[in-house]
Amino acid sequence: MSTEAPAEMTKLLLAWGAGDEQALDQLLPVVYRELHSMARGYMATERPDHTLQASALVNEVYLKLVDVRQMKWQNRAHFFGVSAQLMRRILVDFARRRHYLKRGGGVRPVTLNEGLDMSAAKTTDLVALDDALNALADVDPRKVRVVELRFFAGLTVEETAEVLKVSLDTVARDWRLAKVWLHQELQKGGA
Amino acid sequence: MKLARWRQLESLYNKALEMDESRRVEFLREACAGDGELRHDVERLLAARPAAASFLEQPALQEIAHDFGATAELFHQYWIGRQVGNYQFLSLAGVGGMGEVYRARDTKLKREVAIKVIPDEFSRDPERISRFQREAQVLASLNHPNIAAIYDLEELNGSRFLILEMVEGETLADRIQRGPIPVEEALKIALQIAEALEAAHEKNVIHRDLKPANIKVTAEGTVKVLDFGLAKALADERTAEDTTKPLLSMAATSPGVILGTAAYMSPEQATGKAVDRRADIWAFGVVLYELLTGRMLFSGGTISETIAAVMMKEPDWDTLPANLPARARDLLQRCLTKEPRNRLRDIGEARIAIEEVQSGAEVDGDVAQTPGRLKSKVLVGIAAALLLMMIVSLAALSVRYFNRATPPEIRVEVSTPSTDDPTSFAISPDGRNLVFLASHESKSQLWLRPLDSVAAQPLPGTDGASYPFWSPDSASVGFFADGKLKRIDIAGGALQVLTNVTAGRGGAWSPEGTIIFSANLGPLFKVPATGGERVAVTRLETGQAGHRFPQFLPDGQHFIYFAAPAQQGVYVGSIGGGSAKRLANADAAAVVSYSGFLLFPRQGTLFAQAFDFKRQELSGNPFPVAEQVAFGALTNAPGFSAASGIVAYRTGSGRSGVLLAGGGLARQLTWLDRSGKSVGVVGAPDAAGLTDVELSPDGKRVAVYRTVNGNQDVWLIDAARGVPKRFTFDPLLDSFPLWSPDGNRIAFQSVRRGVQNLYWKLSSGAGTDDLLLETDQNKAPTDWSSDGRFLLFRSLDPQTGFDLWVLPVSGDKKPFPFLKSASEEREGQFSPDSKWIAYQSNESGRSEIYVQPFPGTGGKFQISANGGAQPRWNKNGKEIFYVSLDSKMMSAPVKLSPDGQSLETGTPAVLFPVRIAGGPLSGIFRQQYAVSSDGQRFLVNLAAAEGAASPITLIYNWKPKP
Repeated sequence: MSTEAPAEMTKLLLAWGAGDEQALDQLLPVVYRELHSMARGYMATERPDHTLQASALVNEVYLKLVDVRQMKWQNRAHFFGVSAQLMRRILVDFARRRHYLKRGGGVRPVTLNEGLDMSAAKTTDLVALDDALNALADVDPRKVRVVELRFFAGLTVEETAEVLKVSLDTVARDWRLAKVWLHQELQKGGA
Repeated sequence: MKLARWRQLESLYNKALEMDESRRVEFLREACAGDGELRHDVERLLAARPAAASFLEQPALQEIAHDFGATAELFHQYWIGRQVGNYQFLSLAGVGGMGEVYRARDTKLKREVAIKVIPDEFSRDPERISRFQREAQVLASLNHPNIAAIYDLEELNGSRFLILEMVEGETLADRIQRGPIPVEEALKIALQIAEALEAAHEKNVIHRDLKPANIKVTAEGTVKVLDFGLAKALADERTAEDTTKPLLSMAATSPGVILGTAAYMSPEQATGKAVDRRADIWAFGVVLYELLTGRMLFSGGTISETIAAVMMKEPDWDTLPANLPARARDLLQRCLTKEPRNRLRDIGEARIAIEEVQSGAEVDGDVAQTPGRLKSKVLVGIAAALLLMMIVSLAALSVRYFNRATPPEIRVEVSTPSTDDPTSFAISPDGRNLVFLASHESKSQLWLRPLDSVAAQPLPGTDGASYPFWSPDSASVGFFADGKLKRIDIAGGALQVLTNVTAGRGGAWSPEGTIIFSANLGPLFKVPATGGERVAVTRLETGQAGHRFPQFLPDGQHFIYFAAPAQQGVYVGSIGGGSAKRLANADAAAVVSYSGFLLFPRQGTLFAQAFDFKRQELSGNPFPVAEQVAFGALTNAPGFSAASGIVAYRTGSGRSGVLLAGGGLARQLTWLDRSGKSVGVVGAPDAAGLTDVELSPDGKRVAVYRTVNGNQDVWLIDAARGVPKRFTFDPLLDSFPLWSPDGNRIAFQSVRRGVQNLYWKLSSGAGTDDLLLETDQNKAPTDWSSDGRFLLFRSLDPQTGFDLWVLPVSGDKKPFPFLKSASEEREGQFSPDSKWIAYQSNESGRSEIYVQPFPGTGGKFQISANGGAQPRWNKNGKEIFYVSLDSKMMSAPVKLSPDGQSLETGTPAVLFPVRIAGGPLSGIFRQQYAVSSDGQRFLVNLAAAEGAASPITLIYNWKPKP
C-alpha cells in the first residue's frame, strides 16, 4: 500500500492540512491499517505487561505513510506538529466508534478479555476531550498544540518546546493550566 | 469563552501558583477587585489541581493501548460497524494466526457470515494475491456439508477479506479439553471428518492443517471442517509451490501465517518431505485418537520434543478405550503409521471402516491388506513364545524411544528468507528463540522466530543490523546497525543505543550485564549493557589486526574470541584483563557449547572438542559435528551458534563451506541504463567477494578488490574482456582502490604495517607499492580531486568514528581534516570542479547525503531526503546519484554556482530499484557502483539473484560423539 502510494498519501495529507475534511476520510483507513499492521508486529513480541511505545509507533506510521521528501517538512518540528494532529483525529475517531458501540448502535463486540474492556473510568474520555480542546482552541490555540504534542504524540516537555519554539517554562505553564482546565471541563460534562 | 477573560484567568492562575500558598487568597481578592465570578473560576482551577495531577500524563495511545488485549481490541474496533461489499461487520469472533475473524451480516442474502481479514503483509504482495485468488476459486468449489464454505473474496481500500460460512458451535479442541468422547459419538464425528476430507481429496485439495481447533461441531451434531487449504493458499509462493520445503519453514517466510502445530504434523511434514493427502490421513488419525482418549497424542514442552515424539514415539495404544472395536483400532494404527508408504492410502477407506463399525459388521480382516502387520485375530492364536518375543522387542523399543534422559538427537531445518549475511543469526540461551538477519521487501532486518511456533516476525527498528547476540536471560538481543551497538528487548521491542561501533564484528553479554564487542579492527571492548563508556579488554599482539566474535564462558568472566591474521586462532581472555591464551587453530571464530565443548570450523567442517571451562583447556580429540559449515572468510563470523543442548548451523556455499564478504552470493558487475535495464556485463559472476567499483578515467578498466584463496587483493578488470588481473600481491589485506585522475596510478589501502595505511602504485602494475600516508588510524581513500592535488580519505577515529580528511598529494603532504565530528562522515566525493564535496553522514540519526564547499567553509546542503548512501557525481556536475536506504538508485539535481559559494538542490527522483551488493549501508564498504562519464550508465556490483538462503539446521539434543 504505502510502498506504492506515498505520493497519494502525501497529497491527501496536504489537502487535509489545507482544510479539505474529505481527504481525511480517505486517509484514515490507510492510517488504521498501517497502525494495525505495526501494532501486530509489536504485539507479536509483546508480553501482556508491556505497554506500546506510543511515540515510536506514531513516528513509524508516519515515516511509512508519508513521502517525507514531498511533504517538504520545514523541519522536525513541523513533522511532529502535523503528526500530533493526525493522531488526535485517529484516536478520537476510535473513541467515537467505541461510544457508538456502547450506546447499542451495534452488536456488543466480543472482547478478548472482558477485564480489559476499556471503561471510561479508567481511560480518558477522548470524545469529551476533543470537544473541550475545540473550545479551548478558540481562545488559546497554543495550549491545544501543547496537549496534542504531549498527550497525542507522546512528546516530552523538552520536545514540545522544541516543536513549538517556545521556552520550557512556557510549555510547562501551558500544560499546567490546560490540564486543570480540561479536566474541569470533562468533569462538568460527565456530571 | 471570551479571549480577554481567558487571558485574565490565565495570568491570575499563573501568578497565584508562583506565590506562596498562604498569600493567594489575599492576592486574588485584590486582583479580582469585585469580579466574584473571575475569582471563583481561578479558585476552582487552583483547587482542581490535585484531581488533575495524573490527567493526560500518560500518552493517549499508551493509555488506550495499555496492554496486548486492549491494543488488539483497539484495532479490531476499526472494522466493527463498517460495511465491505454486502457485508456489515458485527463483532470480533476470534483471532488466529492467519488474521482476525469477524462475525458479519450479509445484507443481501440476509445471513450471517464469517470474515477473515487477510494479513496486510500478505495483501501487499500482488503475486501472492493473484495466486490466492486462484486457490480460493478451487476452495470455493468445495461444496460439502462437512466443509465450511468459502463464499467470496472482497477488497476494500487495499484490505482483503475472505467471506466464509459462519459456523456456530464449539471446536473439537474445546470439546476434547473436557475429556474423552464416548466411542460412538467419536466415530460419528470422525466419519464426518473423513467425508469432508474425501470430498476435498477428490478435488485434489489437501487440508494441510487439520487439527481439533479447525473442526467445529454444531449444536445439531454436524461437523464442519474449517480453513481447508488456506495454509497453502496463504503460504509464500516459493515455499508453497515447492512442496519439498519443510512445512516448518513455510511460515518463517510468511509472517503471521501459522500452519498448524507440530503435534498434528505427519512425520514427513516434520522432516520437511513432500506433503500429500496422506498427511491429512495422519492428522485425521491424531484427531481420532485424541477424541477417543481426551489427551494429546504427541506433546512435549517444546517444539523439538513434540517433533521428536511425532517422528519417534509409538502411540500409546493402551490408553484407547477398551470398548473400541478392533476394526476401529486397526484403522487408527493404519492412519498413524509413520512411514507414509505403509499408511492408509485413501481416506475413503477410513470412511468405509467407520461405517462398517457403526453398522456392527465385524468384517474379518483388515481395512485393507496390510503387509507386515499382524492381524488382531491371528494374534489370539499366537504361541506364548512369540508373545514373549514381542514384549522383549517392545521393551527394546521403549529403551530406544521412551527414555527421556536421553532423547534422540534430531536435526531440523529452518528455512529463512534470503539474506545478505547468512552468518548473522543466533539461538537464544534458553533455546526458545532464533534471531536471524533476513531481507524482505528490500529491507534487511532481524527476524525473530520463536521455536515453539512456526511463524517468524521482523523486529522493528533493526534495519541494517548485523551479528545479533543474546542476553543471558534470553530477553534481549544485542546487534550492530547504523554505526552503533544497540539492544532490543524482544518483548516490547524497546530499543537502546549503547555505543558507537562502525563495523561491529560480534558481541557477547555476561550475566553481570557487561557487553564485550569487536569493532572490526583493534581489541575487544566492554561496555555496560545499559550503555556507557567503552574500555578495551584485550590487547592486540604483534601482527594481529583485530579481535572478533567474543563469547563468554559460563563464569561470565572469561571469554573466547578470534584473532587474526598473525597467529590466527581462538583465544581465551578475561574481563579483568590479564594475558590471553591461545586455544585452537580455526578458520573462523568459535562458539562455546555450555555442555562443555568448543565448536570451531576447520577446513569447512564444524568440529567440537571437550573444553574444561575452569582450567580453560581443551582435551581429547576434535570430532566433526557437521560438514560444509558456513563462516565468513573475511569477517571470520561463525555460521553456527549454540544453546543448551542445541547446536544451530548453516551450511556454506562452495566446496569448503566458506562464505564470502557480505554473504555467500555471487556478484556480477553489470551495466544498467538510467531506467535500470541491463545493457551489458563485465566479466562473469564473481564468487570471490568482489567489492567496490572504481572505473578508470578512460573507462577501460575497473578496480575492485576480491579474495582468492583467502588473500584479499586489489584486482583490475578489463571492462571489455572482463578478465580480472591481480594488481596487489601482499599476503595481507589490500583493498579500497582509487584511480588518480590521469589514470596513471592507483591508491589503495593495505594493512601490511598493522594499521590500514594508504599506498599507491603505477596502474600499469610496474614498480613497487609505495607508502603514501601512515597514521595510527585505519583509513581508506574515497576520491581524488580532478586536478590531482588532493586525495580525500576517510579515517576511523576511535573517538569520533569515520571522519573525512584531505591529503595534499604534493608539497608538504600534510593531511588536514575536512569533516571531523562525532557522526560518521564517509564516502566523500569531489564535484567535477573540485569545489564541493558530497558525502554520506549519519548526523541526523539516519544516513543522508550532504554537500559542502571545499576547501573553505560555507553552508551545508542536504541532498537526500529519505536517507541515502554511496554518493557519486554525474561528471556534468548537475546531478548527484546515491542509493536510497530502501535500495533504489536515486538522482538529485544540483546547481552549483561557479564561485563555489552557493548550491541549489532539487527533489531527488527514483531512477530504479537496484539489488546492490551488500545493500545500501554495508559496514565498511564504499560505493558499489560507478557512473559512466556521460552519466547515462551505471556499472553496478549486483548481488546474484536472491535465492532462499541455505536453511539453518538445528541439532536438538545434541549428542557429542567424540
